Formats: sequence, structure tokens, C-alpha cells
Amino acid sequence: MNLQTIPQKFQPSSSEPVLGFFSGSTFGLFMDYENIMNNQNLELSITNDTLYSRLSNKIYAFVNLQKNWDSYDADVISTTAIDVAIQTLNHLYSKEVHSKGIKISVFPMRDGGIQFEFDGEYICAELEINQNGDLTFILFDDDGNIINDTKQPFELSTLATRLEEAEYEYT
Amino acid sequence: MNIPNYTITNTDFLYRRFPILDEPNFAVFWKLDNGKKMPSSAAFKTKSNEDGLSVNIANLTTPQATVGNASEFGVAEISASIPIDLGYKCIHNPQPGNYAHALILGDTKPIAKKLSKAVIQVFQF
Repeated sequence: MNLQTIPQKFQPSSSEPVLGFFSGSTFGLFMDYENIMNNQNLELSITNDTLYSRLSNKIYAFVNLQKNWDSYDADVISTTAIDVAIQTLNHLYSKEVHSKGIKISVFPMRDGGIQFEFDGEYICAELEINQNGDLTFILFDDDGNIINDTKQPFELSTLATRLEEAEYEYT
Repeated sequence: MNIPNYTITNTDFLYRRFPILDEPNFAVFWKLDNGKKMPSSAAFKTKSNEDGLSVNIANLTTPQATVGNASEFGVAEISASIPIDLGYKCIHNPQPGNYAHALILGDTKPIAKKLSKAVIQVFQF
């Protein structure tokens, strides 16, 4: 994967501090973040733009995490993982995955990577981005058992299709 | 004092600390699952250089003692039966200043999702 050739829709501008990335019409929604996070229906009804702005803001903020941020000796999140996470977000945004009923969450990983979690009506899945930017896609059943574990070479461009196929297959 | 002398069985419960920091660092390890705040599986994954996943034995400590800095962390409680029934050994591994420390031995990435789904309760102070 060539990191230089993929445009980053959610890249903050040079004139804006990373943590001030959200602005304008979405700011009020960010101010209501806690209410949104405490209401599942609201979570599902927020717009693509709002969700992806929030997630990109979160991903960029991972750069602030210091060594041992989890108190169990977690590593600093790598800039490569952040770049690939933003590319992943761009892909999910362009495919409108959230609007197809699949909830998207993103978390820092203890080994310096970033993890996406996908929760549909019938499936849950994870995309692990390790600190080198390598991808692992994992599909789970309702009990958390691994159904399918796809390590490299996993193509980011196939992610949305994989999620939709899995949701359809396990309906 | 630091000699392991506790045998973890299926009837034990284990505590795992996880970050709850929101803005500006977003080290938030929970998400909504059917309306409940549940820790992400990322909180239960070992790093490649670790012998196992650090936990505390509930019988030997409290959630309050486990949490440390309550403004930054919460505590998730799971039954030891979950990793044990999946073939993982859980051993008492006392550390200086933390006699209740234990390890779920091995790479826990393959069972991290099951551990996160098996969380019984989350303590936030």
C-alpha cells in the first residue's frame, strides 16, 4: 500500500490544531457527544458526516497518548497506524458503511496499533491495524468466537464488501 | 509476601483496569453494546512481548484498589471460568505493591472478544 497516493478526506488543515478539527455546523453535535454516546438510537441516527468527523477526530487524538497510557505498559500509537486508520475511515465513508446499519467504533491498541470494531445486526468484526500498518480482518459470531481470521494480504479496498457480505451471509 | 499461594479456579472473578479518558486523548476503551457500556476487546489483548494478560484476583483485592487513578480508569470484572474453560491457565503472580496480581497466560488476542463480551460489570468511581 502506498501511503502517499491515498487522499485523506479527514486530514486536519495546517492552520487548525488537531483537537480543533471539528468546527462549524457539527460543533453543536460534538458538544452533545455524551448524550449521543448514551443513547443507542441516536448513535444509529447520526449522519455519516458527523460520525466520521467524530471518528477522525478521535484517531488523530491518539497521537497524544503517552507510553503506558493504559497503565499496563501500552505503546505509543504509531503514525503509520494513524495514517492507515484514516485511509480506512475514508474507505468506510465513501462506501457509506454506517448508513447500512453497521456501527463503527475505533480504539487504540496496546501494541501501538489501532482497532476498528464493526457491529451489525447479525455480525461483529474487527480490523486490526498494527503499528506497521499491516491489516488483520477478523469476523466473529454472536458469542465472540472467531469465524474467519484474514491476515495479510488483506486489501483495505475490500473491507466494506466483506462486511456487507458477512452481514448478508449470517442473516 | 510476594510468594504466589492462591489457586485460581472457575469460581473466581478477575478485575482488569481499562482507560476511560475522553477528550482530548480519547483513550476510551468502552462502547455501547445493546445500550450498555462495554469495554472493547482491545482492553483484553496482550502485546507480543507479554507472557499473559495482567488482571487482579477479586478475592484478594477490591475494584477501588484495582482502579488506581479513578479519573482515568475503570475496572471490568470477568469470571475466571471464561479463560479457564477456553484452555487458558490463570496463575497468581503477585507483584510488589499488588499481591492480587495474576496472569491469564499466553496470547489472549484469540479470546479477547469473548472476554469483552463476558464482562459481568464495570466499575467507575
